[in-house]
Amino acid sequence: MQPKAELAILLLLGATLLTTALPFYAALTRAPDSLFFGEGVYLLSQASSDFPLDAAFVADLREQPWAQAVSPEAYAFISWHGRPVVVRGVEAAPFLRLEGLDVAPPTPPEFAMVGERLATDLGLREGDPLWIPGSLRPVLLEGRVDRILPAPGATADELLLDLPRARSLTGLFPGTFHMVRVLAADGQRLLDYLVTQDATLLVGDGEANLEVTGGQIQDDRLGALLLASPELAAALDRSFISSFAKYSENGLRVVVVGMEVLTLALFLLILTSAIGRYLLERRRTVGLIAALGGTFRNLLRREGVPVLGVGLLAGGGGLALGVGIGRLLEGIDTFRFLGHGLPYGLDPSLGLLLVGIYAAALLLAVLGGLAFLAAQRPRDLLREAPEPAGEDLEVSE
Amino acid sequence: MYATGALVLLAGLEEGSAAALGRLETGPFLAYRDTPLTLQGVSPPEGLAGPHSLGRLVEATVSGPNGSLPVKILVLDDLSLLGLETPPPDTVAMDAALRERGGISLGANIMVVAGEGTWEGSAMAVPSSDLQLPDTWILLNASGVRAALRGPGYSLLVGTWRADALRLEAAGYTVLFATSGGEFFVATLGEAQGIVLSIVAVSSVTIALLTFTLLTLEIHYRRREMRTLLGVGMDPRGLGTLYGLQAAYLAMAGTALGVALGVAIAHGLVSFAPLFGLPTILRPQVTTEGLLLPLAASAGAGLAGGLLALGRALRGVRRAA
Repeated sequence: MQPKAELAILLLLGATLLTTALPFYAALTRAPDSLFFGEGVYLLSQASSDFPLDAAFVADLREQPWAQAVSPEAYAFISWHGRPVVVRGVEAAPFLRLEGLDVAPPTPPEFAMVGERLATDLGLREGDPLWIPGSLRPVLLEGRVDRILPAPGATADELLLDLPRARSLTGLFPGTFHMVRVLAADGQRLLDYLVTQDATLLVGDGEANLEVTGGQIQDDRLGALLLASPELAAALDRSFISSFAKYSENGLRVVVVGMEVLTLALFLLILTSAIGRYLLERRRTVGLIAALGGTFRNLLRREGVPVLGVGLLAGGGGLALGVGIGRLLEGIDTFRFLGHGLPYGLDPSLGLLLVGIYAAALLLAVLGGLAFLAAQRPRDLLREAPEPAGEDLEVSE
Repeated sequence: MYATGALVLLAGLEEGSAAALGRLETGPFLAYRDTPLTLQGVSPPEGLAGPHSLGRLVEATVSGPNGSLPVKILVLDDLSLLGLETPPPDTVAMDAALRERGGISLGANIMVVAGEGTWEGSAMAVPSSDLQLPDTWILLNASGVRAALRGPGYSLLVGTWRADALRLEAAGYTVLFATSGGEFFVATLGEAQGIVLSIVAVSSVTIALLTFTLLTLEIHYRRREMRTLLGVGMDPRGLGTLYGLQAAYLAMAGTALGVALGVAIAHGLVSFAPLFGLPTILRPQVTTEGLLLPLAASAGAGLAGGLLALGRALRGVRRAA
C-alpha cells in the first residue's frame, strides 16, 4: 500500500472516532435542557430564592400582551414499567398552545396524556387503564389514557397529568409550581416585567441563564425540585438533599467530561503517531532537501502541503463517516437518557469545533514533525536505508 | 486506555450512587402481572427474602344513594406492609372522596358486589397511612374478603425490599414502587451507562482496526530484514516465532500501559473535579470486568494484526527469495 494511502486510512479512522463519540457526549450534558426549551420558550425557576412561583404570579403573567402562552408546570420523576419516565403536571390548554400542538385539550379536572413514543413502547392506547406510582411520596394513582400526543420532541416520551395529581406525586404544595414556561417573542420584555415585579428568579432561554435578582441565587434547580417536597425535606437532612442532587449531577458530568478527554487524547495519539510515522519514512527526502540548502519553507511546500492535503481529505471522509454512524446509533433503543431519546447532537457550532480541533491538531503535528526533522543533521538523515522503489528521489551509496 | 477509563468511571458512578441511594427510602412496592388472572392459588417466585404478602385486587361495585360506583377491593394477607389496618368486622373502609361521590355517609349500610359474591357492611373511613392509595380502592374485613374472592381482578404481591422487587421484575412481574424517584435516578444512570458503553464499543472497533493496521504496517516495513535473515539461512519457522513474539510483546506491553493509563486518568479526573467546582459522588472502581474486557480486546486486536500480517509477509518474502 502507498504511504499516503496508509496515512489517509489512519487519519480517517481518527476523525471517525472523534465525530462519532463527541456529539453523543455533548448531547448527554445538554439532555436536561432539551426537556424545557424550544424556540422562543423561556423557563422561569426559583432555584434557591424564596420568590413565590404561584397561581397569582401566573395569572398576572398571562395578562401581559407579549406573553403568547404561559404554562405552569410540576415535574415528577418516576420509574414506570421498569423505565425512567418524566411526569409533567400541566394545564392542558396553555401547555398545548405553548408546544404548538394541534390537539384538542382533554376534559378537566383529571386527565392523562401519553407521548406517542412512550405509548408505543408500553403498548398503550386511548382508554387504557393506568397505575402511576409516586415520585417523592408513597402514592399510587389510577387513571385512563385520555390522549396520545403525536408530539415530536421531549413530550413524545412523557406522561402528562393534571397539576393536582402531578403535585400529589411529589408533595408540592397546592397552588405552587416547580417551574413556569413562557412563550414570548421578545425575551427582554419578560425580563423587564420581572424586574418591575421585584422577582428573584432564574430565567433560562436554552443558551444562558439570565438572572433577574436583587441578590445572589444559586442555580440549584434539581435540588430545589427535590426540596419542593415537604415530606422528603422533613424526612431527610436538607443539606443532604441539596448535596445529593448536586453531587450526582456532577458525577454524571465528570463521567461525560472524562470520556470527552479520553476521546480527545486518543484522537491526538492516533493523529500524531500516524503523521509522525509518515514523516519518519520521508526523512531521507528531508535530509536531501536540507543538504541541498533548502529552507523550512521549501520543506513545508515539498513535504508538508501534500500531508495537509491528505489529512484534510481524510478528515472530511471521517467526518462524513462519523455522522453516518452517529445517525445510525441514534435510532437504537439504547440511546435514551432521562427517559427520552438522545439525539446525535452534532449542531453547526459543535461541528465547527470538531473541524477546528482536527485542523489545528493536523497542522501542529505536521509543523512539529517537519521542525523535528529539520533540526536533525542532514547527513544523519541521509545515512538511512534507501527509499523503497517508486519514490521520487533515490540515492545510491 | 479508552475502554478502561470508561469502565472505571462508570463503575465509580454506580458505586457512588448505590452508597448515596442507600439513604433514600423506596417504600413498599406492588408487583402484578399485566393481564388479569383467574383467582386460583398464586405462588410467588422463590427466593424472596424480605417481608411480602400475596393478595388480589378485585373489581367490584358498591351501591349507595347516588347509585353504583365501580371500585376495587384490595385483598391482602398482611395489610400492615402498606401501613394499613384490617377494618373491623362488617365494615367497608372507603376514601372520603369515594364516599362523597356515592353520597355515602359514615356508618351507612352499603352492599359490595364482586362477581357472584355479595357482601354488606357499614362504611368507615380508610385508616390513615403513609401510603396514598387510589380513592376507588376499598378495604374489607376477612369475611368480606372471602365473599369478594369470586370477582375478577389482578393477583398482587406487596413487599418492601428492593432486592425482592428486582427479582420479581426479572420474573416478568410489573413492579411499582410507591416512592419511585430513587428508581428513576437508578434507571437514568443505567441509561447513561448503556450509552457510554455503546459508544465505547463502537469506538473500540475503530481502535481495534487502528491497532491491527499499525501492527500490519510495522511488519510490512520489516520485510527487508526478513529477506536478509532468510537469505543468511534462518529457518522460516524460527523467523515466524521471532516476529510473532515481538508482535505479542508489543500488543501486551501497549495494552498493559493503556490499561494503567486508563485507571490513572479516571482517578485523576475524579480527584481534580472538585477543584473545578464539580464535587461528585463518584468513587472510581477498578473491577475485574473493567480490566479484563479492555485487556482482552486490545491484546486480541494487536495479536491478530501482528500474526496475520506476519503470515502474509513471510509468504511474500519466501516467494521473492
